[in-house]
Amino acid sequence: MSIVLDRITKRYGKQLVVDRISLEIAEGELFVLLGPSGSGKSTVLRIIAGLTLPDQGRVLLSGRDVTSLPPQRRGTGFVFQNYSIFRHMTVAQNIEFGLKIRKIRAAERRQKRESLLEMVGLAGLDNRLASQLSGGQQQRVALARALAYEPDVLLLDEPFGALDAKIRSQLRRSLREIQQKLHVTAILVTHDQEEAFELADRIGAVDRGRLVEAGSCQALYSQPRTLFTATFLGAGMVLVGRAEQGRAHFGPLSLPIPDPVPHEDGSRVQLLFRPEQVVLSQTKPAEDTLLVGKGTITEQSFRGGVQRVRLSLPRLPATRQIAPPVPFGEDSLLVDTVLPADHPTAGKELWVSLGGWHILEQPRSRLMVFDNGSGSIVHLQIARWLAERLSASVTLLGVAAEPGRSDVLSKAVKRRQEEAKLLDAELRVRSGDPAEQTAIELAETLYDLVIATRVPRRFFFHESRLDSLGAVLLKILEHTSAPVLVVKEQRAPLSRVLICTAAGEPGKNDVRVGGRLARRLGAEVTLLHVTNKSQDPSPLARTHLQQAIATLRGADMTGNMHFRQAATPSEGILAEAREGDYDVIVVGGHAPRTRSAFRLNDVTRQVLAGTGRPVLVVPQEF
Amino acid sequence: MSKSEKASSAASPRVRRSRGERVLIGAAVVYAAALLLGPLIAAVWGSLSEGLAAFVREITTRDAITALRLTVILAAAATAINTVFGLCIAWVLVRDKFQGRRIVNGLVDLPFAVSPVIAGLMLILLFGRGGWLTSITDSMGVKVVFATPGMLLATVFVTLPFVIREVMPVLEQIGTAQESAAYTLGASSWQAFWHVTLPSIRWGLLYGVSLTFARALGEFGALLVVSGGISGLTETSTLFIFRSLDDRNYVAAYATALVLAFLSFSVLILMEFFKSRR
Amino acid sequence: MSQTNMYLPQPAADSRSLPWGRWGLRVSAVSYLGIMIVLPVSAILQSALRDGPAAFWTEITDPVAFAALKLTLGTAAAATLINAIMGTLTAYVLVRCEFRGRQLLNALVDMPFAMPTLVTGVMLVVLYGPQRALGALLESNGVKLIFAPPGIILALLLVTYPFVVRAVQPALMELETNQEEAALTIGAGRWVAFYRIVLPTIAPAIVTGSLLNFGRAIGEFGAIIVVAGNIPGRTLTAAVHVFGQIESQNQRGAAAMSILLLALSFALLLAVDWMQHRKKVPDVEV
Repeated sequence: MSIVLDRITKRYGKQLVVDRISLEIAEGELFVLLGPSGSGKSTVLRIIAGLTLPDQGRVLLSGRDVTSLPPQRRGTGFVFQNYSIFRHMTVAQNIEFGLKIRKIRAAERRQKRESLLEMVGLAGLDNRLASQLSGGQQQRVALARALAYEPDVLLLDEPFGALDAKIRSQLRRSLREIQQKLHVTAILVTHDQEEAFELADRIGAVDRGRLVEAGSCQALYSQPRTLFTATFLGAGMVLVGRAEQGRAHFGPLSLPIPDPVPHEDGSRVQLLFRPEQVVLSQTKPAEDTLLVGKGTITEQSFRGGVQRVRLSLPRLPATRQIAPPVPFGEDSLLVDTVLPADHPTAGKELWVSLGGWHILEQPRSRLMVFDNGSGSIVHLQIARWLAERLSASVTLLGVAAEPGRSDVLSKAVKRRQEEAKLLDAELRVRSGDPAEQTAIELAETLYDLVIATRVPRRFFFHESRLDSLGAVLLKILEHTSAPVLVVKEQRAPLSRVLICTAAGEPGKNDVRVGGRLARRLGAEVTLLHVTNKSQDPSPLARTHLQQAIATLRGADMTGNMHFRQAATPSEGILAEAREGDYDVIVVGGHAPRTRSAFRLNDVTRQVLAGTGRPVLVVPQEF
Repeated sequence: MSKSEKASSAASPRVRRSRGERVLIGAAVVYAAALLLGPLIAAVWGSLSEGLAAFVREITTRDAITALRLTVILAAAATAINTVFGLCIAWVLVRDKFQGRRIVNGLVDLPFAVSPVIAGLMLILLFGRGGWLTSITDSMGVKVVFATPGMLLATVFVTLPFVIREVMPVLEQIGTAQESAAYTLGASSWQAFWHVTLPSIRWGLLYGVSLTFARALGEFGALLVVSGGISGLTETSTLFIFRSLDDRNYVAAYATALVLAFLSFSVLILMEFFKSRR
Repeated sequence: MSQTNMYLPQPAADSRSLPWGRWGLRVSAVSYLGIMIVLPVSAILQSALRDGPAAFWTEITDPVAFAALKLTLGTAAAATLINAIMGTLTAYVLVRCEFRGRQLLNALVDMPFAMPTLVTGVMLVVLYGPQRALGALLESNGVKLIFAPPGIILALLLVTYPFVVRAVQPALMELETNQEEAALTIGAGRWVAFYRIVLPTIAPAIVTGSLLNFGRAIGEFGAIIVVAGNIPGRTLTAAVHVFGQIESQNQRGAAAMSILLLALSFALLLAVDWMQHRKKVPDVEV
């Protein structure tokens, strides 16, 4: 093993730039760190070279711990993106610099320089001033300079980033040749997936300071583990469905979940298929094919021998699409694929089925916390507690009324974030109507849970009991597609969960979501059924409860069952919550596809208004 | 396509300058010439008014020569000191982001803003009779005020900002990429500075150095205050000119002024050269 | 970190402290400035205020001192105003017009930076002195330059000529000509284009240059003492007054006036600093 990184962490101020990256790179390997700009990949490279010191972690080069060695004593060769050629020196002086520092004799230096110039294709340019060279030539000199003293490790930081496409591909080829010829271990940093595929023995995908996954090009492209890798490495469709008894369901499609990616029952499953795995046919395909539906071609673009087409299909029930992103408010399934160039396309209806597919790993839970920069921070504190228990990532969403206020809001939220010690959360600031922007955020990114508190308004003249929730919060609840935990006061740990099955229409969702949350928190579950006549539940209620218990069993949970008599469901729920001292009340929310058309149902509103305890509102289908 | 267009436009006859533009150019040139060149020509004429022989005689008197020598020595010494410390300060201000950097940065400009007479007064208050540091210098047996060390200090104070102000922007502009590259190639901090940073900033540095030298050559106010004014010992060329004016020895004053102007001009030409290379 | 760590204790990267070389540099830089600048300024402060504010007040309100201060501010303001206009004009011509001798003019602008101010004063006396042809001519027409306030202004003009030019030049270069050209194509006259497009953009640079110009002007000594002499109440400027006080062993008086000038200079520096940082976007909090 030539390069070993052991839990490298780096912060700039409060910003976590590199987050516990561990990596082993074999001798002679060309490893590519691939990630969007700002993902911290260049910082990793600088840490290996010793130009930046990590806050934590170790760097080993050929088994030697170099973590605290200065760059001069590490013997790495580094090629920077730009402007690192010594402009006042000739090509020869540049290349010989490292040798001269090491006091190598002139004859030897010259020999070395000539062979390197030959290798990078610049023979004869020895006495040219570096500033007279073109960008591509400068990078060739930089490469030769970094290789001159035969380093064990070659580090390349977006070396071709500033060059035009043609020169870039020439340089890539030379780099690959030279690297193989010299058998030098190399790490290259890039944001260009094409470049990564062309050069890499292995690729490491980096997202927001974390090494998401590493593997061969083939593996990362066709069997990625994470959503990030799936969408960052090439085009692809990602659908979200639900796991049940070892199978993944996406509307009519039921796919077996393969062995290495087990999912718990009821959890979300992400399906990936690449454009080349889409099969189009004019006639309805046979029964045993994986039929997605019938779609129309909406976009097409010419790509030489092939044409890229996008088809629009009716949305699959109980399924969401993450990639390519579906425009907000549109209710369809988008499929990208390629067709032969001469294939007629206009206005055609085609059957779409899958020739291959891949199931991603069960995603890490994601919480979204809605914060408007003022008032109580209990929701932030609960979010921190939940994020630790569920090992979930947290996104903070602030919505400014107008774009000009974004900076002020972002500063306020940041301050509150620190106060609540919710340090690793990602902050997103949007502007516009809070409820609408929250709904758009939920449509664009998949969250398991939204956490919000009562959003205070400036003036309260006629504050009714119901309105004390705050208009913004109510609107969020009416528009949301994810469960929302409404927090009013500090109540962690959440160890007793009350699920109200008869609160309005009976749905399996509230039971399932509440049950899953309880299991992951190690909390105790109580199912409540409120009747308004006698102790004896009606046959309909019995069916509800049986369904609920089956759902809980499916999630390996058992729960207590309570019946209660009360004049209205909300009264019963509130009384039970008080007497049993529950930490979370789970109630159903609105039905799907009715966003903004309906008001939140009355029981839910009354429960929300009547208690200070956290309430989890679960949309009936999401 | 665009190339041929460019070529044809270059070949086309020049458009005549508008009248307004000609008036503007004329005004600028006449103002500069009257303000700057007029006095210069007058000074040449004035110092030669009693003939070349008188001119030569006056600039070769013992006092004039020793004054000139002291001027150059003081200027050279002050320039050397301010080059070394100026580089150091500029580097610290650009590369070393410590707390209070902004204040230190503001301090650097102070000598620009302070009248040289006040600079002289400061030195008297520090090193003169009953000054803060007089007991220390006395115990070391060094006389500062009304002697050469004080004159050097005055010159150093007055010319302190130039190197710093010229080097800082260049240092900022070249960035750290080349230095980092040198480190990864095995260079020590000193080697990286010497082989990579210094050559990259050399024209800016030389410009700052020549500005310092030019300013040091012509320093007068601060020196007038702290020098003993002993002719042939603590008298610089500017002081010599001033004394000659007082003694109504006009030819000596004008001639020495011309020599000093000539020296400054040489430095100015050097400066323009450095600036064009920067 | 309050966060619970689910991983093993992490190996810490050691030697995060600054290398001693960097410390050495920082300390020597700061102490050099401390000794060369902070210490002398404190000496002046102490000297001026040693005998209490009343004594300080007496020194400042002394009629001669007061007149000197007034003369200094007046002449400096006049010189600054003239150079603001002519300097902007020169900068505009240097950047926007192509003509023979442009390079020479550009080099000439730096001359006052290089020329000793005393020598400048001597030259002016040679040209305009009463014994000289031009000076005699002016005098016979009732214009007295040397040993008179107009001479001070003339000396200041010469000494401070580069400031506005050198401040405005880069600002003009930064301003793309196509903005100006766009204005011309939509029918604006050249003057309107300058007045409406160019001037608002370079106004901060003109102000910055003028502030520097003013600051330099109030401190000028060498040129003025030769050109104007030291006639109390008439041609005695503040800097010359300080010199006179030092010569007559009145250190408190010298220090008092110095403090006033220092405060003024410092305020100007702050203004310049503010002007220069004003345009920049405030630092983003990380």
